[in-house]
Amino acid sequence: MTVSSGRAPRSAVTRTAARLRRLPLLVWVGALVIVLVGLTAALGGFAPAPDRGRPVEVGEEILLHRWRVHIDGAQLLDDTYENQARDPRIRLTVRLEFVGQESECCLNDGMLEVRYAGRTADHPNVAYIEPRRTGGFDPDVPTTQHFDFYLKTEDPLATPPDSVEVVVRDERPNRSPLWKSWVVSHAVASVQVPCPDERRRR
Amino acid sequence: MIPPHRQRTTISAVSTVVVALALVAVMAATARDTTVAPRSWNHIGVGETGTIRDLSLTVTDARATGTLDLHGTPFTSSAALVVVQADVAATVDATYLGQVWLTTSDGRRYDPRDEWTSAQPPIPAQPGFTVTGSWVFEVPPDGLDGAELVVDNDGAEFDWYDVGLRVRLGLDDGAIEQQMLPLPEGSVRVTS
Repeated sequence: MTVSSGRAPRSAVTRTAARLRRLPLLVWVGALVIVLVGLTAALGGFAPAPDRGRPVEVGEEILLHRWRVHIDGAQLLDDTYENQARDPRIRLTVRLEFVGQESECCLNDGMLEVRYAGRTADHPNVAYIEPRRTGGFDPDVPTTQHFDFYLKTEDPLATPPDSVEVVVRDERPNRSPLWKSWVVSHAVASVQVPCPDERRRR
Repeated sequence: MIPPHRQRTTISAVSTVVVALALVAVMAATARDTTVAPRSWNHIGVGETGTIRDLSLTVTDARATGTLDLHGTPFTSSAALVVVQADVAATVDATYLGQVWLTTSDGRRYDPRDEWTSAQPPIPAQPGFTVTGSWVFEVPPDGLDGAELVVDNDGAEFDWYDVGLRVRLGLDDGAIEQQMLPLPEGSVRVTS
C-alpha cells in the first residue's frame, strides 16, 4: 500500500523555476544589464563612430547647424624661393553661407580638416584674396573663402596626392549661462577633392 | 517604530526640499537670457539726432548699393551694401563707437564690414569734436525692409540696464542703386 504525502511530485522544470524565483532582484538586474550590453556589442553599438561623415561630391551643399558649406576645389601650392625652407600648402576654395542670427568673425577652428596620404592637416590660415580683404560672415550672405592648410613639412612631396579628402565637422552650442559660444562636434561629411599640383617650386 | 513627531519632521523637511527644487526648476525655465544686457531704446529716423549716455548721433544718409569703391577697386556684392553716413559727438568722455550694428526686421544682426574701416567715423570721438563717416554693412536684399542702425554705449566692466539708439534707415522699398559709390575717409571737426 502506498501512502500519499499530499503533494504532487515536482518536475525538474518546476524545480528550476522555483529556484529562479528565489534569486535576489540584484541578480536579475545584473543579468539584464549583461544581456543588453552583449546585444549592443553584437550589433556594433560600441564600435568607434566613423570619423568622416557621409561622402559628398565636390560642390555639393553640406548643411550644418549654422553654415551652408560647399567644398569647391583644392590646389597644392608652394610659393617659397630657393633660399627658403619649403612650405607647401593645400589651398581649399570653399563657398560659405552663415545662417546664424549675428555676424560671425570666422569659421570655427577645426571645422575643416584635410587628409592626404595618411596625414592630416587642420587649423588653416585664411587666404584673403582681393577684393574681400577681411573675414567676417554676415547672416545669409554667401561668400567664397580660401583656406591654406600648411603641410608643415620640408618634404618636397615627390609624389604629391592627386586628390585630398576634406572632412567637414559641425558645431554644437555651448550652453553657458554667462556667454554664448559654439564648439566643434562630429564629422558630417567628407569630400574627395582633386588637388592639382600648382607649386611654383617643386 | 518611528515616533509620530519624528515622522512629521521628516515629511516637513522632504516637502521643503521638493518645493525648493521645484522653485529652482521654474526659475531656471523662465529666466531671461543672461548673456544679453537689458536695454530700452530711443527710436529716431534719418536726419534726427538721438542722444544716449556716451554720444549724440545723427544719421545724415542711408543708401543701398551693389558696388562700392574699395581703395580704387570696385567691390561688387551679390547682396546689398548698405552705406550709413553719420555725425557723432561725444557727450562726456571719449567714445570708441564699438557698439554699432545693423539689425533687420526679423532680428538678424550685421556688423560693419572691415574693408571700409577708413571710411568710418574716426575713433575715439572726443568731447568738443564731431566725427563724421560711414559704416558699410553687407545685407541680403530681403533685409533692407525695416533695417535699423543700432548704436549702444561702449561696453563697461558691468553691463546693466541702459538706453541705446535705434535709427530707422528708410530702405523699406528695397531699392539697390547700381552705380559705384566712392567713400571718403572719415573726418573730424570742432563741434560748433
